[in-house]
Amino acid sequence: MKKDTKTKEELLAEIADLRRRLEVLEGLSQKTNNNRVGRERAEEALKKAENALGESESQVTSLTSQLLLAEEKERKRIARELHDGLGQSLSAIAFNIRSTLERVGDKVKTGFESLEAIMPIIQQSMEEVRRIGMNLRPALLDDLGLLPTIGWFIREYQKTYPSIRVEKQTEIEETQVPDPLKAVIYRILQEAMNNVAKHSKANLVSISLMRKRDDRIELAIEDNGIGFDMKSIKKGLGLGSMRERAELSGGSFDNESVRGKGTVIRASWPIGKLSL
Amino acid sequence: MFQKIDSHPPNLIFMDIRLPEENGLELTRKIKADYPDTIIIILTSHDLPEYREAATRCKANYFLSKGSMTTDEIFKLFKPILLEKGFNADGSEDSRSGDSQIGVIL
Repeated sequence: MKKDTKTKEELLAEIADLRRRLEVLEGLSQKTNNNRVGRERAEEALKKAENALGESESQVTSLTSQLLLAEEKERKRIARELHDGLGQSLSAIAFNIRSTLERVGDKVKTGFESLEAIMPIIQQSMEEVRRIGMNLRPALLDDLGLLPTIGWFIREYQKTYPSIRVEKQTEIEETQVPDPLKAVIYRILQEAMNNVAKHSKANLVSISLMRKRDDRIELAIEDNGIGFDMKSIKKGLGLGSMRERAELSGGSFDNESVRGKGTVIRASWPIGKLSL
Repeated sequence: MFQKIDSHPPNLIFMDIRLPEENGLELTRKIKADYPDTIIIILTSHDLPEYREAATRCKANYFLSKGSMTTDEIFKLFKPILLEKGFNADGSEDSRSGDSQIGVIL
């Protein structure tokens, strides 16, 4: 007959087994505990890394923003120096030569032929200095404002690209555009219009600059060109730099393009929430 | 600057657009509001329609593009102004006029 009670040996064996299991369990628990501590540490490290990444991203953003502002400032400085230095000197030379030739008149022609010949060269140099300066930063932007600058830009653009018709719609007052935003809008317009000329094969481009009802300023440039495949275009076309300019100044940027149906570039800024 | 103008209102001002503190066009608008008889000539090296329009809007009397005129042309432009303001055509002071001087305001 089988006994119900266990022998001492059996009990000892059972205890030894339980001890082993307990040890295993304790080992597991220790591991779990260790795992938890390890996980907490890893989470903490991850958080730190994320914070550091966020901080470095915002530093990059701030540096890019400062870089763009510095570039603009430098362009302005060089354009002014060209105008005030070299430009003024050339003007003075031209004025003096013209006055000398005037004084001499038709009476004494001999000996002054070289002065007469030099005048067109000086005029050409003056024009060159003006052109370089205006390319660096149009004086109109600082002297007269954004709207006259856009008008001038379109006129010059049409001289260079007569096959592209440009339509302009501006429903905004000069005073409604914050000063620091003027150069940003001009640069985005310039980049977008250069893209139209270089890549789009368009014969019509419409520019609109408006003050929207929701207190936003919106710049839109739309062309009827060949468009491009949005997926295949990752970099290039200056889209990145346009987006960067818009976003760094507190605005948003958006572009749509369909092959064969043209491209639209849109940038907008909430007035009062500009980061400039 | 306005103190100088108030104490001695000028007959004629040659106004540059880019000034150390204020835009010359804006300054023209302000001066013309108080002294409509003062003749203001805008000087610029940018002979663009946008500048001409801005000068007209600010009530400037003349627009002079630097380097574009000969001495003769400048003289022809100013002769009637000088005569009207009581100077002789050569720029010397006419006995009819009161005290006058040429000065640089800025």
